[in-house]
Amino acid sequence: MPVPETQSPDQPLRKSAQRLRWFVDAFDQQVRNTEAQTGNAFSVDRGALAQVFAEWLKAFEAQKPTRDDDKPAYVGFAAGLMLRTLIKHKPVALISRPDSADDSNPAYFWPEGYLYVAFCLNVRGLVLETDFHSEQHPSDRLNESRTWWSFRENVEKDPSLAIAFLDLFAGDEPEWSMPELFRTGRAVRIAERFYARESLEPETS
Amino acid sequence: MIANQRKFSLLPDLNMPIRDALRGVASLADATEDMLEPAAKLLPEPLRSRFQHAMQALEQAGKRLIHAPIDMDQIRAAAEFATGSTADPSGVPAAARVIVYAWEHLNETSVEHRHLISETIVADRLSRLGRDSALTGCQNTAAIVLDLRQSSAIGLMPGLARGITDAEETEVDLALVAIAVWLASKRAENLVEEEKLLDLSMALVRALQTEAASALGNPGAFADFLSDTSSHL
Repeated sequence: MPVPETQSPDQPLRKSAQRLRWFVDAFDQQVRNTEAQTGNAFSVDRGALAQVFAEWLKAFEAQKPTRDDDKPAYVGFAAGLMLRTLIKHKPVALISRPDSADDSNPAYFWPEGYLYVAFCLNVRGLVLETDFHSEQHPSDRLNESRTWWSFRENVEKDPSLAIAFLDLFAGDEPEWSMPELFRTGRAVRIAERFYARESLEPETS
Repeated sequence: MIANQRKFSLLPDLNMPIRDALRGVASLADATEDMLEPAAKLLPEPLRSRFQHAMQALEQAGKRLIHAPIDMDQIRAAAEFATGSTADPSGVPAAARVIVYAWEHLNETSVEHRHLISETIVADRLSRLGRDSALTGCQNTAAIVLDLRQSSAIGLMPGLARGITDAEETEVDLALVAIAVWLASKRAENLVEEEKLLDLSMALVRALQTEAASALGNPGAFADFLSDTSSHL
C-alpha cells in the first residue's frame, strides 16, 4: 500500500494516520486497489466513514500506552480497533461483483469484510515498517475459507473479536479473551513465551 | 452620535453589502418558490412553467454572482486571523469572506437549514473582537465562533413564515463549528483539497455532535474541543 500524499514528512506515519484526511485518502486507495484486484465494486458512505474514524479515535486514545516498549504492539491493537469499528458501522456496500466470483475465496465470500481486513492489515504493516522498522508476516489463515467463515460469524455476534482475528491474520498471537483490552508489556510476554518454549525443547526431545 | 459612529468600526468592502443583497435575492426566490408551490400548481401551462423558470433563474443568478472564488492566500489569511496568529485588521475582510464562503459551501453540500449569513455583519463582528495575546490559537477561534453565534450575522430571511426548528438550530451550530475546526486545522495544498477538508470537517463534527453541543456551552471546553478536533482533521 503506498503512503497517501497527505502524510507529513515531519512526523511519524502513526501520527499522520490519526488525521481524518489521511485515513480517508488511505481508505480510498484501498477501495481502488481492492476493486482492481477483485473486480468487485463498492460504494462508500463518507458520513459513516467519519463516524468510524471518530469512534476509533476515542477508543485509540482511551488505551494509548505511555511506555515506548508498548508502542509497536499498540499499532497492532489500534489496527484491530479500526477493524472492529469498520465492521460495526459498515461504511462500505458491495455494488457488484464478477459473474464468475468463487464464494470460497474470502474476497467474494465477504467482500466488505475482505476490504476492511486488507485496509487494516496494510496500514498496520505500513506503520510497523515505517515507524518501527519491523515487518509484518501475514498468516496463511488469511486465505482459509474456514477461518473466514468463523471470522464473519463471530464478529457479527461480538465485533471486539475482530481485534483477535486481525492478530491471527497478521501472524501474531491473538488474545481471544477480552481482546478489547490492551495488555501492557504484551510484546515482552510473547517473547518470553517463545523463549520459554525454546528453552524447554532440549529437555523434551 | 459618537456611539453610532463607533458602531461600524470597519468600513466594509464595498462589495460586501452587494453580495449580501444578492444572497437575499437568491434565498427569497428559493423561499418564494417553496411557499407558492401549492398555488403554482393551480396555474395553467405555460404560465406555471414560466413562473418556476423565473424563480429558478433568479435564484441561480444570485448564487452565481455571490459565488466569487476565494484563493489560498485568503484562506491562509483567514486561518491566521481566526487563530490569532495576527492581530492585523487587514485580515478581517479575508476572514469574513472565507467564513461566508465556507458557510455557503456547506449549505450546498451537507447541512439542512434555511439560514442566511451576512458577510457585512460577520466582518463587523470580527473587527470588534478585541485581541487578547494571552489566548491560545483555538481560544481565539472559539471566541469568534461564540460571538458570531450570538450575533445577527446568521438568521432567517425576514418575512419567512415558518419558525426555526431545533434540528435547524443544531445544523447551524454544527456548520459554524465545522468551519472553526477547518480554519484551525493544518492547511491543505490547494483549493480543491481545502473544500474536501471542509467537507471532512463537517462529517467529523457531525460524528462528534454530542461532544460539540456540550462544549459550546463553555468557552474553555469549546476551545479544547476545537484544538483536539482540528488536530485530528
